Amino acid sequence: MQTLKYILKRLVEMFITLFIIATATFFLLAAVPGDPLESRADRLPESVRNNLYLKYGLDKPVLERYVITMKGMLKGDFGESVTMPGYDISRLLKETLAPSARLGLQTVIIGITVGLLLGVLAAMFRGTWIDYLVIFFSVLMISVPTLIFGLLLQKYVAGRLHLFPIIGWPKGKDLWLGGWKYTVLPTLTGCFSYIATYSRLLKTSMLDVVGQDYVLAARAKGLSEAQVIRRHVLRNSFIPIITSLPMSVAFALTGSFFIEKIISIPGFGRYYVESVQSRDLSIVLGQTVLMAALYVVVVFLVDILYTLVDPRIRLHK
Amino acid sequence: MKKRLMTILLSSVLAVSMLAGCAAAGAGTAEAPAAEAGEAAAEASGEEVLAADQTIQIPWTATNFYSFDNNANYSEQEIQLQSMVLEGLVRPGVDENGNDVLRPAGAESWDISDDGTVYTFHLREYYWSDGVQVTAQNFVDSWKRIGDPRNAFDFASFIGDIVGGTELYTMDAEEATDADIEAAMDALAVEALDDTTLQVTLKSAAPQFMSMISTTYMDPVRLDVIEAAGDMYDTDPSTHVWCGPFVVSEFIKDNQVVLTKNESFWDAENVKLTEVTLINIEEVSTQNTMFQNNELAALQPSGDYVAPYRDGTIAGDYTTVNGYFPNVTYFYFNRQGNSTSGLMESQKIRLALSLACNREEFTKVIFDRNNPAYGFVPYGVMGGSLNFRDDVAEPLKPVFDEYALDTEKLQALFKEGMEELGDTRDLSEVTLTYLCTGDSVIKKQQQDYWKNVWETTFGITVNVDVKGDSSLFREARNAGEYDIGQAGWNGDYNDPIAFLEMWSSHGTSIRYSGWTQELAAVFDEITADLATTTDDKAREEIFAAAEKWVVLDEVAAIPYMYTDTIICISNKVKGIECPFVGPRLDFSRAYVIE
Repeated sequence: MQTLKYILKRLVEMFITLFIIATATFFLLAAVPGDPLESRADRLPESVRNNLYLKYGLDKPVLERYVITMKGMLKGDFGESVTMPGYDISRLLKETLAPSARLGLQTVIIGITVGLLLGVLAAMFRGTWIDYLVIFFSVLMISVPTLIFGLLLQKYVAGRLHLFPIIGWPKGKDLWLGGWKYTVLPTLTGCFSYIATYSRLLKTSMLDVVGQDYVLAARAKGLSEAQVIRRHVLRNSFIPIITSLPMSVAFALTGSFFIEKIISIPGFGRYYVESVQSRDLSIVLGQTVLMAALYVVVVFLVDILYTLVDPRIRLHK
Repeated sequence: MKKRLMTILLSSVLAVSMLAGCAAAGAGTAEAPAAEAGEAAAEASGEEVLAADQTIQIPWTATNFYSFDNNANYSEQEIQLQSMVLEGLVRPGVDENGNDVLRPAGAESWDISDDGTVYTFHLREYYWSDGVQVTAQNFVDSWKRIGDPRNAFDFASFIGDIVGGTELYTMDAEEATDADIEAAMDALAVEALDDTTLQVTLKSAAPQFMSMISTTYMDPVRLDVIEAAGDMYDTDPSTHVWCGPFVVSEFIKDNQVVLTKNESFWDAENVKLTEVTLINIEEVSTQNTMFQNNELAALQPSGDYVAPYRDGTIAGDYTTVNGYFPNVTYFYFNRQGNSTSGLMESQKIRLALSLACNREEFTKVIFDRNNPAYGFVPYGVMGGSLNFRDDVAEPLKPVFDEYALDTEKLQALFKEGMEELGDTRDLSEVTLTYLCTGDSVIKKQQQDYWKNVWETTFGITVNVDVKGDSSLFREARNAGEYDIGQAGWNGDYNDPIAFLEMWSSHGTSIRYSGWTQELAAVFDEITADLATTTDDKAREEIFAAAEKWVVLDEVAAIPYMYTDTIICISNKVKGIECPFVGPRLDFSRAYVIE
């Protein structure tokens, strides 16, 4: 009962948060100079320009537009994009989210798995060349921008060695399963940063735990090193991983601007940047609310996950 | 009528609008030796074996493609696609001299009345991809639709020359009733005399009309298809029917479009390519890698890749052509009486600023491409059958040579201008505000270059006001917070008026380039005779006078650069034609050889 009440309370909070975020986004975007039609309309005769503004309702005052927008949002309608006629956020998601989501899933699965393995290795062989090698590559991977890795892989692995296609993404029936050769380079490009982040995160966390008394106790009672690591160290090292893991997954699903750009993947990533540049309110609002919703949901799930990993943590007081 | 101007110079120069091409068989600049085109032609006539695989891939900025509705289009990428899937009355092409020509396409022939106002087109028998014949009524519907103010189409003004056109497209969609608008649409003087005869009556002679109707905006539409498609007409190609050399068989938003040969096209026997993929490849280096691997039929190099491709230092199996582009890049002045320095009302000062610009050095040092501009109409523009720049020398050039960048003479001219305005300050006390946008290195280089030129020539201070994005730029411009602004203009159809009209009373300079109605009235007077002139030579003289007034007598603007176009075409692909105005690449009759 108490848990149910807690969940309800959190849900109400979520809606309030989303409302505030949407409102803030609306007014911030309205405050920035420029509107989505401006660059197009600048070169048009006066009468044509006026008719264009009329068509998209941009001739109305800000507050009136706010009310219209919010009313639509309550019904789940974010409005039609101005720069992409015929598209609203849901159609855009429907057509572009699948490639982004697949790329994101492949990237996080491989990136985080490899990252965690390397982290364990680095911690177990602390101070040896394995440790240094892992850390060296982590630092390298995290400091070199994704874009550079992508372009290098593209130029040499695809362009010179012809091992994989230079650009492209599986389409049609291959959208989810199939056309794997297209996905190798972008996945590789994307997973570097996860490998780097998670290997260092886990290593640091494990080193913390290894110094704890209960690990000493476990060793004292004669457990093998593997058992110590598996039963006592790993589980307790997972708290920081659990904090960042769901966010990584959530954000990976919604696309990567750079990778999609260089590999010409028809994904969702580009719209984060472009819709803001073109002041395309309906799309910006849709994305912001979507991301915010993902975020609050994930935070909520993480809170629940904590209790599974560490029984000392309670959902409610 | 006008437009497609890119706000600031570089957006037009650097925008990776992949397909800006140029004539493979001509339209070359002095730097693109005719021999190159000649060789290509010789090869073409040699022993060619058609490859079994007639598919090509071409880079295309898919993100600038917005709609499959040809009446609603406004971007270069839309024109590129539509011209390959639709067949209008005439198709732009390139003749053996490298000049643009309009070839009969949907219209087999046409007659123009002696006074140049009545055009009668005789359509060939050709069909939409669903088997329905393309009729004159499809054109009537299209032209009325594009002018309908409720649709708010960008190029509505293209019907402005037709009787009843201006009345229709300038209606206020909010105030006018549907009945009013429909009455105005009925009054538009375009008529289907029968299924294959289309007649249109113009208000006055307007030879540029032929070039305007060659654009895809004016291609035929099927009202029944539009109605059936509803909201999906813009973005879902499966709701469409086509009448051009290809049909759209696959479309992925902002990514690619796959075209396949239209077997029912009237000239299908001369269409050899079976499949063409237009694909978005944003990174220049990726395009380069793919072109090197023979995965692209054509490449428009940009950035650091331009010089090595043009000079042939990048090895490969391709031909590079350096041609003209319908663009002029210029400075304009705040003439609305509130310029920051208060000096922009003096013709002598404006002229001095213009004559101080070393255009040769600028294009060489900053871009290592493009051509210096001493006039407002770029090279390559046709006035009917006459190549304007072949006949009319650039008006600024002799005066520029006379002053020869002599600092003393230029300073004296500037000083004279100040005296006429009653300004007795020393030149060192003068500050000019130069408004521009710029976030890239190359923009910064240009700004520094011009600042330095004006400061060292005149001993004045030039305050470069750089705005972070184009919205902020427009805000400052509209508030008049500048002396000199920077812009570029791309012609939408092939006629000198497409470049000069911006200075007229119905042009866009009044809002866009610090211009006023009073000044525009002078321009209108100079060009008044155009309305009754159909002779190419006589029109050319009027344009020459108008251009001279714009850049020399009045100094409305300082043109300083004509953008060029550099394109590499794989030697495996023949027959790609690149008209100066129209689709950047016309591959409708191209083919792949072994």
